[in-house]
Amino acid sequence: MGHALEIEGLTVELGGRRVLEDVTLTAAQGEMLVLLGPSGCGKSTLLRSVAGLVPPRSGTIRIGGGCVDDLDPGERDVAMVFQSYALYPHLTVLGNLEFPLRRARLPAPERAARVAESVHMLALEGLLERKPAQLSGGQMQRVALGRALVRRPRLFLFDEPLSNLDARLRAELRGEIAVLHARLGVTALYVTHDQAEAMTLGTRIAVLESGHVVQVGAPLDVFREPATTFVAGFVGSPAMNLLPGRVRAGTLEIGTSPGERLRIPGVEVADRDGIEAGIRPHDVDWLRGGGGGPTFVVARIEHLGTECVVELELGALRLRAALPPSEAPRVGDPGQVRIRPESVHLFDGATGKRLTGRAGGAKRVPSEGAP
Amino acid sequence: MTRPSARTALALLAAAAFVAPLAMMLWVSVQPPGSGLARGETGGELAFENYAHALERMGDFRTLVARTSLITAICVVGQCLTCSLAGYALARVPFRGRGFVFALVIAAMLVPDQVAAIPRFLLFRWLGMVDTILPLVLPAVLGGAPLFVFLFRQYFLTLGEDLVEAARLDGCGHLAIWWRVMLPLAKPMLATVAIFTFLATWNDFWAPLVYLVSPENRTLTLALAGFQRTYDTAVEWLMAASAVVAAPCILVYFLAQRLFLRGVQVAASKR
Repeated sequence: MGHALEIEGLTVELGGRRVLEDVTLTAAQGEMLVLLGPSGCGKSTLLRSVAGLVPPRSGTIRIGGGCVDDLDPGERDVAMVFQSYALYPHLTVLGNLEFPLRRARLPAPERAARVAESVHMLALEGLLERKPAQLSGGQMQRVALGRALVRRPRLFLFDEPLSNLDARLRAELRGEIAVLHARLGVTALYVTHDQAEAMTLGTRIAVLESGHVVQVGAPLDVFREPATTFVAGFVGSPAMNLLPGRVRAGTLEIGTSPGERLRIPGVEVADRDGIEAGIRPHDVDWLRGGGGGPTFVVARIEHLGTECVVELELGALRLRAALPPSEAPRVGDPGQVRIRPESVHLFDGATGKRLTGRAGGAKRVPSEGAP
Repeated sequence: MTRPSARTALALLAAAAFVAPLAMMLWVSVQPPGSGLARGETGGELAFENYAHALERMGDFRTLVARTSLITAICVVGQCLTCSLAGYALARVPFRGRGFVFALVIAAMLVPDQVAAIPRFLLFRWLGMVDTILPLVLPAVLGGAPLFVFLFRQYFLTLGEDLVEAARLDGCGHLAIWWRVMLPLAKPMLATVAIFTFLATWNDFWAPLVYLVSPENRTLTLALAGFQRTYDTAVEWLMAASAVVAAPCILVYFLAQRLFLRGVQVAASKR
């Protein structure tokens, strides 16, 4: 399958600050590549560089095989959906949908056909004569999607399109975008800081940290095999526990004080210090008495409805566990934990890079873009 | 006295200060000529025929109105277009030296017109444009109102950058963005600039006095000045003519008052 988008060695500076450094990424035809990262990581800048709105310092961008470095945004054949919707306030919904087609000087019948198709697809009938100020947030974002769709571009760019919507509407539109993407088979670059969006929409996810791509892979691969402690902490909710430790004779010892160490035997890694152990809260079992090992105390409980997140303390060591509501302990309860060695992710404490697939010995999955 | 009523009284007082000269003008304009106004004597019948006499004395009134309207129209359209274009460039077109150019615009706002009058006159004389309407309209057509450039820039900054970027992706160049997206959204600001320019140009006495030498090139304000003579200024006729000349200004202000106030509010809001 050919690459619909190729980004090679892209470096971008804004106001003298390096925002993106040597970013290399590809998106296959029909793929939804999600750029995931916290605020300020450069994901929106990357998207805007692809759109031609931000000039790169170096690097090359190819869309559909052709280099677009010297093309204006309007010549790149890309359509963008903005977080702020960016609808033209003085035009009606119909005027907004027609705007790019008029600029492209499309004949009236073709214009009408394309608009009708988008209107039908996004259920915009009845809104055509309204101005953006008369629309709800969800309706505005639908119109913004429609304005992108009518152009039938080679590449769709989504810049956090759902961030301004409430949770219910966000979930609804997320589903609609997934359906549209599957139906139209278009290539899309989707920027978000919301991992739920990334996991549900992405064919692949590229995780960015401080202007670098730290991991690219299928959503579940990124979740199961995070390449760095940053990815491990960012992907997954509640966030993964990242705890300092060491390996001695096949046993992972978590915690720094001798009397407060959690020991997990069965680790297939040679003895070494300076390890960062990653444990997902869902992989921590809470034992109310019985079970061996040190005794933790429940410090805090967050009830989320479908589960509760419990913060456990062992001296200075803090561990989050996600438990079914039926097993929710009370604050101050003592107990032990059980963690299966194959569920523990091991990282180099100094570099933050992944050491093995799992502590239990699974092989490492190589990830594109991983350092 | 409660606070709101104090405020109302203050507003009425301020309004009276502005309305009084207008009322005075209208009242004097219908006094019989030579009725002893100079000595403070008034009364007698209202002399509406003052208006006919005044217009007759101004000369070819239609030509005066046509010439003044032409100058005003060119200035209003020119100022709206060029100042908004310059404002858009300073707000949304990244170019080297933009900050410096903007600083120059701000600096130009501090220079009184009279300071530039002589160099400007010498320039137009060198260009052979004296005694034509060109020196009156060219500065406006060339965006020569730094205050309006500044106001447009501030206004365009309040419109999100996303809008400009969306238009660029939709295939617009900067000129198309300015014309198709920014200008339609700048209606309140356009109204403000249009009204200010209309009032300033229609009422302008200084520039026509400097540049229009021949009597046949006179504007309305110059014709009004013609009423003033050393020994026999017909105050009643002058006021009648002034009322006629001022009428369009008052009309325009009342018609566009809402837009005008919105524009001033936008301009005053901080960015």
